[in-house]
Amino acid sequence: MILRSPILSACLVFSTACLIAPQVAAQGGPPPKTYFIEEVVDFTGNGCQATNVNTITALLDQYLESSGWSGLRLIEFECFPHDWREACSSSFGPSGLDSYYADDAKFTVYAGHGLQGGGSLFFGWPHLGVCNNILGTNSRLGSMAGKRAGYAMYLTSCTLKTTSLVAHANFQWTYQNIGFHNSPGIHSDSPAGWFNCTSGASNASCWLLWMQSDDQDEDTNTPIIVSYGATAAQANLVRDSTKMKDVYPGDFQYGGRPSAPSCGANQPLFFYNWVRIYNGTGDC
Amino acid sequence: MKPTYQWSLPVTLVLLACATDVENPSKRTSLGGAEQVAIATERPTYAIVSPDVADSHLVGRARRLAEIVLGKALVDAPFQESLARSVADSSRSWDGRVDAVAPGLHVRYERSTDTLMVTNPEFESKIPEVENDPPASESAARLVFDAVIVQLEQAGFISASDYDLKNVHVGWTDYIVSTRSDEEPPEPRILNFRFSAPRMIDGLPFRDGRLRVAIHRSGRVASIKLRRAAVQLVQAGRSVPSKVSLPECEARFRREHPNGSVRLAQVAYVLPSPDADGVAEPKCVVSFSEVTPQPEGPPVVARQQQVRYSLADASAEPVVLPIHDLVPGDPRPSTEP
Repeated sequence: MILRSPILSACLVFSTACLIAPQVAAQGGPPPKTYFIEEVVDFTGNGCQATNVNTITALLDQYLESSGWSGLRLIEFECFPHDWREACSSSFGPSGLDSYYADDAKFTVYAGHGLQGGGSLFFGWPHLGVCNNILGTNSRLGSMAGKRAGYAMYLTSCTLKTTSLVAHANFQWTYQNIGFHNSPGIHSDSPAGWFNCTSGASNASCWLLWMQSDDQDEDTNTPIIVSYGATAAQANLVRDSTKMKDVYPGDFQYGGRPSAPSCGANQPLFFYNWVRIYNGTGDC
Repeated sequence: MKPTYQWSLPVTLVLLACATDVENPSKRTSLGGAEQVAIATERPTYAIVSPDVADSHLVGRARRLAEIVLGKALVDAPFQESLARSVADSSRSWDGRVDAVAPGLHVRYERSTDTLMVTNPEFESKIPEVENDPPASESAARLVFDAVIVQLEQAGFISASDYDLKNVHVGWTDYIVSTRSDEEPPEPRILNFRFSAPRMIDGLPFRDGRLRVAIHRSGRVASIKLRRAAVQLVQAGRSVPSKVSLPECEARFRREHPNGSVRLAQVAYVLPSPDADGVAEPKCVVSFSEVTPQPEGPPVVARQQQVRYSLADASAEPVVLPIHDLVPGDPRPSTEP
C-alpha cells in the first residue's frame, strides 16, 4: 500500500489513538495531535561534514505516543533537507516536500546542527546535493502547502539566534518557534522532560527550565522560545498559556496560525515576542 | 501597580532599581573560570555519596529552602501536604523526581543527583504586562545573591567556602514584549539574573556539583537550585598523579580538534556520569563546540561537547561527552510525490 502521508503511515504502524482521532475531527471534535521528528546524529563521512552528537528525541517520541499523539520519527539518512522545504513552488528551491513531512504535523522537530548566523538546519546526508535548509528562504512551515505545523522545535545550534529571527524563523507561520540562540549541550532526556513538564506549566517556562543547562547540568545554554499571534495580546497568550501536553495547543484548529499566506504571498501583519535564558552567544 | 511585599530578610535592604547598571550588560563574568590552583603531584579521588534522604527530612529541607526563596516563614499547610504527598509518590514517578506545586512555589528534587530546586514562578518566568520598571541591575542583584549565600550557610545547606564564589557565572532571563512584525524589535529587558558557582574539591571545581540562585529584577529571589550540595565526599583510596598540565592538554585539544571553539578549559573533578554517584577524579576538561567550515556559506556550529583528558597519562584515550549514540527510528514512508 502506498502511503503519501507520514501521519497515515504512523497510524498504521503505531497507535489506536490516531485511528480514533480523525473520526473525532470529522465529528467536529479536537483534531488529531500529530508530530513529525527528524534527528541526525552521524555527521561524519556522509557528505555533510560536522560533528557526531547524541540522540535526544527517542524518549520524546515515546512520550508523545504515550500521551495520545501520533507521528513519525525519522533518523539519519532518511532525513532530507527537502522535508522542510516549501512544496508549493520551486521559488523556495526545487523538490520541496514539506507538505508530506515537516508541514504535515502540528508539532514538528529537527535535532541536528545549525549554521553560524542562525536561521538554518544542517543535515548529515546530502539530498539532491543539498545539506541544509534555510528558514524563510526554503521553509514556510504553517503556511502555503501543508500548513499544518503549529509548533516547530529546533534542537540545534544557532537556529533561533535573535538577530536572525526577522529574516528567517519569523517566516514560519507557527504559534511558537522553540530552539536556541547559541550552541547548546542537550541531555538525552531533556526534550522529553520538557514535554512532560508542559502538563502543568507553559511551553515557554518549561523550555527555559529544561534547556538552560547542558548535559552536565552546567548553565551554558541559551534557550529561547518565540511566540506569535495576530495581536499583541494573542502572542502574549500563546507565550503564557500554551501547554503542549495537557491542553491541545494554540487555538485548536487543525493547522498553523489563521490567515496563513497562500503560495508565494507576503505574510499579513503579525505580532511576536520572545523569552530566553541568556548564557552567551558562543560561535553563533 | 507594583506589588508590595513583606520582607523579613536582609535582602530587603537592596533596592535594585537604584543601582547604576544598564539593562543588558555587555560583559559577563567568565564561565567557570576558577583560578587553577598550583599543580599538585597527585590528587586523591573521592567517592561521591548522595544522602539517603528520608521523606520527612526531604520535606524539611525543601521547606527551609522555600522559606529562603519566599523571604518569610512558611506556615502554609497545603504546601507541606502537597510536598509530603509528592515525596511519597516520587518512587513511582517516571524518573524518581519529586515535583510539588503549591500556591506561589514549585519544588523539585532529583534523588540521583541530590538536586533540590525551589522556584517562585512569579519571579522566575512570568513576563510583566506593563513595562514601567527601571532597568535591572546586576550589581544590586549580586548583593542579594550574597545575602542568599549567607542564609543558605546559616540554614545548613552549604558551606560557602566549598564554592568558588569569586568566579560566579552570571546569566539572565530576558525577553522582548510583543512587537509588530513590521517594526524594529525593541531592546530586550532583563527579568532576572542567574548566578551559579561550582562546588570545590581540594581547590578544584567539581563540575557535577553546583548552586544557582536567580534574583528577580525586583530584588526577590526567583529560584534556588542546589546540586550535590549535601553529598558526602569520601576519599576513595586512589590518587591520580598529575603528570599532564593544563597547557599541555589544551595543546593536545587544539591538535585533535582544530575546529574546536573552546568555551572552558580547566582541571576539575568530574564524575564518570553526571547522572549518578560514583568516584570523582581530577581530569583536564575542555567544553567546546566544533565549528566546521563548509565548501560554501557559513560554517556549521555543532552542539556543545566536552572532552576529558587524563592527568596521569598524556597518551590515554580521552572521554568525549555526551556519548554519540543512535536510537532507531521509524521507516521513511516508501512513496513520495
